[in-house]
Amino acid sequence: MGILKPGIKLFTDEGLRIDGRRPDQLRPIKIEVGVLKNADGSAYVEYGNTKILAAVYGPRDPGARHILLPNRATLRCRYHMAPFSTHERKSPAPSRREIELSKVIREALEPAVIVEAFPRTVIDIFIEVLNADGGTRTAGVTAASLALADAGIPMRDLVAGVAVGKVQGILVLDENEQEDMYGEADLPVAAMPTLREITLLQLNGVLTEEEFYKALELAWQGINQIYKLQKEALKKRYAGAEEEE
Amino acid sequence: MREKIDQEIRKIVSPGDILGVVEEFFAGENVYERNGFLISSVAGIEHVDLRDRIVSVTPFRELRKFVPGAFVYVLVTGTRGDIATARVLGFDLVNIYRNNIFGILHVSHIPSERRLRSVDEMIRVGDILYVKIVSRTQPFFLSLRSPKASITVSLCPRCGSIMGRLKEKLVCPSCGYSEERKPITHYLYKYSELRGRQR
Repeated sequence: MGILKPGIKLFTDEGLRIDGRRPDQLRPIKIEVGVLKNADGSAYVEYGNTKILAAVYGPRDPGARHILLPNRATLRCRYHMAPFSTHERKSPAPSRREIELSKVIREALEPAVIVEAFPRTVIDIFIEVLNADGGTRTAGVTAASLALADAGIPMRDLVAGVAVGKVQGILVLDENEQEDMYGEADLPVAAMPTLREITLLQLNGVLTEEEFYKALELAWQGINQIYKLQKEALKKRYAGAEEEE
Repeated sequence: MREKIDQEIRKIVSPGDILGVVEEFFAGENVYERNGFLISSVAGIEHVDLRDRIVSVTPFRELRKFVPGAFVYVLVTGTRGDIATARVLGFDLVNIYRNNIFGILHVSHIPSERRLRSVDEMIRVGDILYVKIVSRTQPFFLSLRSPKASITVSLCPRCGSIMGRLKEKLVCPSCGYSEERKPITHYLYKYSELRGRQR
């Protein structure tokens, strides 16, 4: 968490954020499902200027036998930031952060996927960050969960993610890059809303106990809104299919 | 009245949608039960069978699984008495599974007009079969007793060439060896085609 530089104002006098949102307001969200022809399932998600593309392949034969598990499918996840996704060119080689986030996202999705249905197979998830403006891991989880559903892989529930931050002592929902950089705390949360189960919870920075519970409540508000949009996007994708039947 | 009860309710659902409670319905295909609720596990169309009280979801994208009733291609790797062992190649001959999934074909699952003493009489090592899976766990029990099941490729025991189908027989285009094998309803190569290629 960065120390606020003098002169950087993250709230207006009316209490609005630098992008004009209220503290409890999400960025404009755009979700599309089935955007890639070659993938078994795919999704494109925008949280404001954060743009994510997710693709899912499988359940398939991995080739390497040591990966296989006898009683369930193996989930493999690759989170990657495109070289052009940040202000300065990012090396396309996987960084420590990307390797960690790949693991974190995989663990956020694993409780949702019914992996027991496909023993001795592998499900590959590719998450590509096209433009990074804060909240890439949560947007990645949202996109990957939709891509999994699009691939027809049985899931207990869709997973939706959003980050809550603390900026100048105020809790803000779905923080952007500026707020993430200069804020005091960052709490990414992903959950399965129908089951009311949290699958990802990280905290970077410091929050008091009271702030933590308030932040979690705010995150649930955001997650429920995103969950509705996820379902709408899935239904929109298949609305034509129902008419054809 | 009966027609009224049989009606099905159809609507689009996504994973996590609550479709009912266990007091109302049984969980059908692609539906699971959690804390008394019946929840959809895939994106698809909901079907409510009001007669049998079953709620199920027909997925928009059907995934192929090794489950009883599924048809797979297998390569016969061994024959011994009344049992043949086979390696599952996959659901088609394009995307072949590289990891070893094994199957067993018992002589009782080979259709024949006469009594077979051993599987050797119909199946040979190296044959590719299209068979039905009849068990849930590995090694899968396989069956040729289905109209869709068939020997699809077989090699000549004398010269090793691919044999072609000529009416109810398999004939080698190279050496002329022929034998009667069953079932060959979906055999891949016709004798005339193989013979034409050789010319």
